[in-house]
Amino acid sequence: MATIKKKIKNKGNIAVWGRTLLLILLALTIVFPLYMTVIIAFKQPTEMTNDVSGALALPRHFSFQNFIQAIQTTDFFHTIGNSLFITIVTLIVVVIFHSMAAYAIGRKMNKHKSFNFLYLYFISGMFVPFSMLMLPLVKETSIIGIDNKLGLIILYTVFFFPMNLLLYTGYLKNIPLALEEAAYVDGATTWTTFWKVIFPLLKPMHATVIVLTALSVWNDVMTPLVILSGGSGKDTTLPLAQLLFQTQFGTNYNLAFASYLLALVPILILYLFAQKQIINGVVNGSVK
Amino acid sequence: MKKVKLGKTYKLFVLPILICFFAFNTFPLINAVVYSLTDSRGFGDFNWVGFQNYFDMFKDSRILNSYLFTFKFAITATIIVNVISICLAVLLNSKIKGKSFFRGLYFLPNILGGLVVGYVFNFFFTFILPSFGKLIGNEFLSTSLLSNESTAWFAIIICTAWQAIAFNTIIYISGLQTIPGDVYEAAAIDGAGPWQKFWHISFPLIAPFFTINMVLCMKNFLMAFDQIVAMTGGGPNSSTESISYLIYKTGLSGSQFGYQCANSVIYFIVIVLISVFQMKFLNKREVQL
Amino acid sequence: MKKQWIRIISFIMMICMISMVSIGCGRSNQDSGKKVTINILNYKRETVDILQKMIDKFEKENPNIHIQMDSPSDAMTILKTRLVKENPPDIAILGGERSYADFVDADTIVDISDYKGLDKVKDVYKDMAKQLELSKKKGTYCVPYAANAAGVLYNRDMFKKYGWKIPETWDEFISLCKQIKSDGETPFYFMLKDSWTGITPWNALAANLTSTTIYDEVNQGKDSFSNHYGEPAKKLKELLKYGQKDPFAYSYNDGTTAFSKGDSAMLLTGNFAIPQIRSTNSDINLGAFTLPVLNDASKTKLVSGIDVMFSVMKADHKKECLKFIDFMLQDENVATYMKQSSSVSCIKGKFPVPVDLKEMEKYFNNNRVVDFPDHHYPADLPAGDMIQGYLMNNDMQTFLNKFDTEWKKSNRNLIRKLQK
Repeated sequence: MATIKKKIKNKGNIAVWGRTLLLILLALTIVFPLYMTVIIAFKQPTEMTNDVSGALALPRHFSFQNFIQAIQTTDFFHTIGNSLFITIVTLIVVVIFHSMAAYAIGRKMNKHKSFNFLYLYFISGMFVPFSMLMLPLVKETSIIGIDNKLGLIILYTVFFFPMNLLLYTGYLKNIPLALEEAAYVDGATTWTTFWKVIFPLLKPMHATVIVLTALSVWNDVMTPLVILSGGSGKDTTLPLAQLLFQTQFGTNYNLAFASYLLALVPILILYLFAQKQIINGVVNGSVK
Repeated sequence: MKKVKLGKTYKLFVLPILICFFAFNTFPLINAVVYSLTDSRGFGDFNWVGFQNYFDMFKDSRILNSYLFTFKFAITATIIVNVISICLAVLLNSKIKGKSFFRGLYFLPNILGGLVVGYVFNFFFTFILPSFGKLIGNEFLSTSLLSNESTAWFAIIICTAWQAIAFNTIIYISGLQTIPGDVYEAAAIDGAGPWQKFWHISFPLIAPFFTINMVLCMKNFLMAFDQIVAMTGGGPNSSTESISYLIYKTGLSGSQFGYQCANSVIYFIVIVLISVFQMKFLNKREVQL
Repeated sequence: MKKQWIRIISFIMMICMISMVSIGCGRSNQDSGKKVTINILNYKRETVDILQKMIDKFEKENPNIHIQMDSPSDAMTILKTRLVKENPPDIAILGGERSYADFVDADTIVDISDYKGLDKVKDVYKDMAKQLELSKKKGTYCVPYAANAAGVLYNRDMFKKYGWKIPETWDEFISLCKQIKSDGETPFYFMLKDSWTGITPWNALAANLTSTTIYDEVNQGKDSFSNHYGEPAKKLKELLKYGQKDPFAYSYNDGTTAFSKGDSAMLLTGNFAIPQIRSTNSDINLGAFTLPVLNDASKTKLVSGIDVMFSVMKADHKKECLKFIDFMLQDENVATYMKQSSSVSCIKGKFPVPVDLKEMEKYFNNNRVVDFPDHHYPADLPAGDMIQGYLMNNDMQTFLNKFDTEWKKSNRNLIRKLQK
């Protein structure tokens, strides 16, 4: 018995290394574009060339000149503040309200026609081409007077609801009803059941929703562009400021890439934190 | 199915989002439907033209081509992305060295902005791949895939898939997380191999996540916009104009707002029909734990 | 059950309506005391620094006027959204293209025909602006300021090294291309991955080979593009022979980079590409000449359009707006602007043509200029894509038919209006 176990373990070890090796090889497809991004961010415009070996060569000097200039051009600390504010507030609103609504819809849509209808109604909202909503929304937000950060947060809350609804309801299917029923037996109300039992159980999905929503909000250009109508207001977001690297006919890739790399950092940090939640989800521990 | 009374709390849970959703999604949508009956440019004065836009639309070969391209693109991309990301998710969820590192790394493509991805892939297709083609003496690879009407769409798919796989993989991983470890243990005792384990245990249990991914793929690919802007701008010879891109380019940058609203309305109806059908079909195959 | 939902939905609708009506149109401009604030929306981001310096100077001379300028990317979309919000800028700095025509047509620009400064503008550019309008309206809606030009950019060092001469006629041009090829160099880099770059040489060809009235005549149903566009299409196809091996693979960025590194002797583009070319090689010694489309050198015209013009979009502060435009039109300021932005003046007077465009000077001075045909093409007409497709598939008849069909489609509302 012991030898068999050992054998399995040895075999397992080889498999572990085999899979790891495979992942390393696949990772080359990711490392390569990343490498190009980084070297371009360090190069000077005059070092840009169409020659393959030249383009892939390391920059002549490593200096942070591009990064400093990118920070100045985009008014980095101001615009990243705006972006952070919008993203964080959106995330808080999204996690609370979306999970609430998704719980209600997810649990009741099979039994109540009206909720089933709501589910389809919200999901279909995902398929409205944004270009079409854009001008009416511009008018609407401007009339109500929310063509500012607040408006952006509300709009994001609306736009990402269909996707998050889908995610939460999908996840809820894997949470057994027994848990809630037990809570009801103990005399809990729907409200407390949700907050005490379901909301914590949704943690891995919260993390997923946070990552995906944050990513879309963080990188979004179109909505702030049209809602804020311009690139010089006090509410300007970082991606909007990054448009400044593109003129009518050309793009300064070196500065733009430096700026993109800077913008990537907060999201990456967020992802690394959230990843732990996605992976070490409570579900594995408590739902059995 | 027993009829249970719908508690007030459930309604309250939905109400805030319902109000916002109606005000900022449905209401502008209704506006756009109204615009589709006019010759509006989106600003300034306009005239009512009735259903003229809809009639004109069906005669428009450019719109027809964009429908064909979009569906061809979406279906191919959905298949490729889902197959690869399931494999990748299983791989990343299995016993490996440096798990967190790889999960972080494989997520990176999703964070890079469209401009970066567009530039890098353009460079790859325009310069690197052709010089590789010349090196191995392959005529087909020696010219840029993006410059050929019949291959450009596939080049866009490669780039899109590269970026989208990260997103879908995460969702599959979080799905795999919901499967309790003891299910596998039980299977292992029954002598199930890895393939059987995947096909008979993992796959049915992550079916809800498969549904999610299918719908998200539909959304991302049927609404393809950023990818097109970054890679080809609709070219060559308008062969890669997706519907969203066409609506933006001619409706918003151009002056056919009313006309493209009509296009949007039709497209919206088409996709909703498809996705309702798809969800009905996929929901049947899910297993409740 | 059902009733309840109806109640909820009607409640939501009510909220929407109330919020719209109650808060609606509650936006006014705060005029703080006597100081007037003028908002300018500038579409040309390259000129921000130059303009800002001039604005500072203007503000010093006119302490009671404050000027606030926005120069966003994608300014046309932003201008549209601001029109939707009914909050247009006081002055818009626009290019003389079809979108300007749309703004005029939608009655969003203030008539300034009573403005005296218009006399200072060269007639040829005033006519050009008028030509752009869809249905020629009474009144004047812009002050043309700076012009651009398209033709052939060339590498002066390479021309000197091989002793190539600047061609004056089409035949000379073709034999020059052959010469360059036999000297082992590439005549042009085509950048046809970006379909709009194909329009630049097309503009020069079509402008010289067709008349400027063609657009109106087609719209009135009296003519068709098929009758006239065959010749420019044929000539464009001929030029393609002298491009690099894979002309559809290179983007604008790749092409300008290649030219700047000396990979090709010429580039078929306009003066607007010069900053981009210099960014990848600041030392390049380049020049520009007119594309000699005709064999009669005296008849060839240079393609030049209005690069920068001022339009007043809000009547509230018309006086102050015109004061600013007046300031911009002063000789000293025109000279500064043209020098710093390397553009050609639309204003009468002796303003030197930028060094890079020296070979084009005689065209400007003799008013031998004609507008870019694509300034008349609607933004939603896929002209670049059609030209790209034609060059790729070499099917002229399809191209000509498609051009007519697409034109009629893009202009269908206008055509219906005109032919009623």
